[in-house]
Amino acid sequence: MKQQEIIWQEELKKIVMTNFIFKGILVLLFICLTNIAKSQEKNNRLSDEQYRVIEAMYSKGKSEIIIFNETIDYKSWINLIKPEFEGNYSSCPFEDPHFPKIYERLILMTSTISIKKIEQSQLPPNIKLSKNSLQTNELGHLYPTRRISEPLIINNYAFVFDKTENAELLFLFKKDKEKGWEWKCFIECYVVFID
Amino acid sequence: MPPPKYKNLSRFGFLGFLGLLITMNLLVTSCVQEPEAPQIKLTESSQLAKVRSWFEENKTKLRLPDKGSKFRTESQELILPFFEKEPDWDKFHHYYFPDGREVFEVSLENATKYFPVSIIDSFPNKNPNNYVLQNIMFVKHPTENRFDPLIARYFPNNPDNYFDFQNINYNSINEFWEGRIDLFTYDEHHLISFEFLPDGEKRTISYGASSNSKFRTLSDCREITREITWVTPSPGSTVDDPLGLGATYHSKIITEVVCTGSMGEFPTTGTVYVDGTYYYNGDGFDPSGSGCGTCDYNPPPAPAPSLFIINGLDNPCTSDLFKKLAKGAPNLTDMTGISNLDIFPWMLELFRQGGKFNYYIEDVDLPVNAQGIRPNAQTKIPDSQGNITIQIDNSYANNATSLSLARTIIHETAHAYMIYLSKTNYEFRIELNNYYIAHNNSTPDANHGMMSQYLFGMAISLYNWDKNSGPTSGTLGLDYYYKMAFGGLLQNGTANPISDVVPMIPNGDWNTILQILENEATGNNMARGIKENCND
Repeated sequence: MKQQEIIWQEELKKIVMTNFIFKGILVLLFICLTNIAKSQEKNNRLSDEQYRVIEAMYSKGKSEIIIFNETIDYKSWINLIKPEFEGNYSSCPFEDPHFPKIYERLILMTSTISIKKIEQSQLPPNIKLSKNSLQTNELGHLYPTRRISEPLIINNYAFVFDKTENAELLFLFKKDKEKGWEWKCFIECYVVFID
Repeated sequence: MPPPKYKNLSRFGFLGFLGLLITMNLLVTSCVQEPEAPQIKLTESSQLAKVRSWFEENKTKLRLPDKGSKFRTESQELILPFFEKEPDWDKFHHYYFPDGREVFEVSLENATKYFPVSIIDSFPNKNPNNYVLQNIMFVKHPTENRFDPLIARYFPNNPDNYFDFQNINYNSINEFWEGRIDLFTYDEHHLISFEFLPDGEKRTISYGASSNSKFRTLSDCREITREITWVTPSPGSTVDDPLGLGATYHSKIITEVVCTGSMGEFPTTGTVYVDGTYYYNGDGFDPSGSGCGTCDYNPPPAPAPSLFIINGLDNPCTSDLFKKLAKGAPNLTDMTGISNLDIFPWMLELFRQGGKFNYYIEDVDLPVNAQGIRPNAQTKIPDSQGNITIQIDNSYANNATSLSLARTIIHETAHAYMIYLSKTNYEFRIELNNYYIAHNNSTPDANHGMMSQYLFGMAISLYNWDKNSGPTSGTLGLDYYYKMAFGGLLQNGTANPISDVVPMIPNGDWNTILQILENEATGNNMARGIKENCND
């Protein structure tokens, strides 16, 4: 009888342990999936700092700017800016000795660019978001809505790709401790002047 | 009864579970991608560092072997005195010869400069030193790890043809450039010279013994004698230094062999003669061409300089018109009779600099854009080679008057020049950025807004073109040319003038300007310009 009780207790222990491990794995999976989901959600949203860069990009314009309500994941501009940062041109002259490293990081970071939703509530009133990929000008002609990439922030530098009908530009910003993000220059990746 | 062991196990299991949880969590979170460590990229600069390293190691050996006691004394070859050359490694061009050999052409701006006596006449009252460009070309050996150098000297025919280092190199000579390029070995043996004449004719010049039968005479060649002079900074005899200036003036009469024709017809390698004996050519150091196996310096063969073709226009009218505009840049800025106008300083500079930066013009069938309009012309920013491209639409060129075509070319050249300036002139760039902000982040509007500062300049250039080369000989009245100059200065995607030019519109009558532009662009019977037929 006592032996049977021992066997029973052993069986019970096994069942409890199996149950415990099974539930533990479920909880673990749940936590892992939650972590991944949170991580992805975080990765799919623009950070406050990225919004401040976008704000700085259009803060000096006279009138409102309409941009598409999602960022673009276009990456090949990295190959087009190479001559500028390697000294052939001087659209964005820099004396910062750390800039070559920043440029190297920029090359690496372009692979992380993805499509992200832009929230109107995070933007100043002069920047309007549009769901439409085309806009109409005063002559009734259609033209593509301006699109931007998510700002890439590396130390105190930020880079934003800006795409309009006849121009594709990479904007460069530098953060000032007091003034915040400041637009320093832009590089033309593609521009055509049509006459 | 002792507590069941499973309770203890469960406690252990819970702690283990927590441990496992933390470990897994760490593992999961560690899966979030961290930025990779920056990798050092192999850039042009690092390739140049290899060249520099090779040069530093070998520069004392880069001499052709002496051959005969009469070397440099009785030979008629051109040998300049050797001087140490210190390249300015920050200024270089990187390109490839047509046969695939890699070349780094580095500035020697700070080194002693030598130039033919004749160049002094080309720069009256000016120091020719300021116009001579000299570079050292390191040519990578096709199989060995060596970069034997050549010296290239660029002598413009006049100040208007002076290009700075950035805008001329052996692989990219502007087709409208006039001047001469001398190619020397590192130790200053002359290899060959190339002359680019105003009418487009090209010549090669070699020095040596005129009677030498091995001298290349593959084309229409003639022999002339000329004097070369140079100065060394050490006191000479009273004959060489009559004023006792502490410098020795050397002079030598040499024989030149000048061959005319297309450069492509000439041998592409230089030849050095010593004492009338065949000494070196691109294939080697002896007539058998077996090369110099033991030489420390192996001057590489060089092809003729590559011309950079600007004019890719097929339409004979447009092409002829462009040539006159490009070659007549000094005439375009003629301010006779209108010099009291208040002119923005960059305006005239635009046309004085015309052709001194790399751009290419061609005629194409431009596509109809998103607005359903076929543009007359367009200008694109530099390609991977750094060349700006202007494209003129074929149907527009076939219908427009030459006045309209000239206006469009001037307008597009202004775009090209502004693009060039935006890449090379920091102050200009800042100014352009301000226009960009003022024009609500529109690149076309920013450029057209800034171009409004060139409005008078474009009008004067158009007038001067017509006066000198056009079919109506400048008789249409300055007001007409002025109105034509407004062409293209529009708000992007509209027919409205860009805000910057609105105050400059005569009597605020924009419609009249639009009508004039339309008449000339379509060559209709209201046009005052003339539609030329160049095929007759």
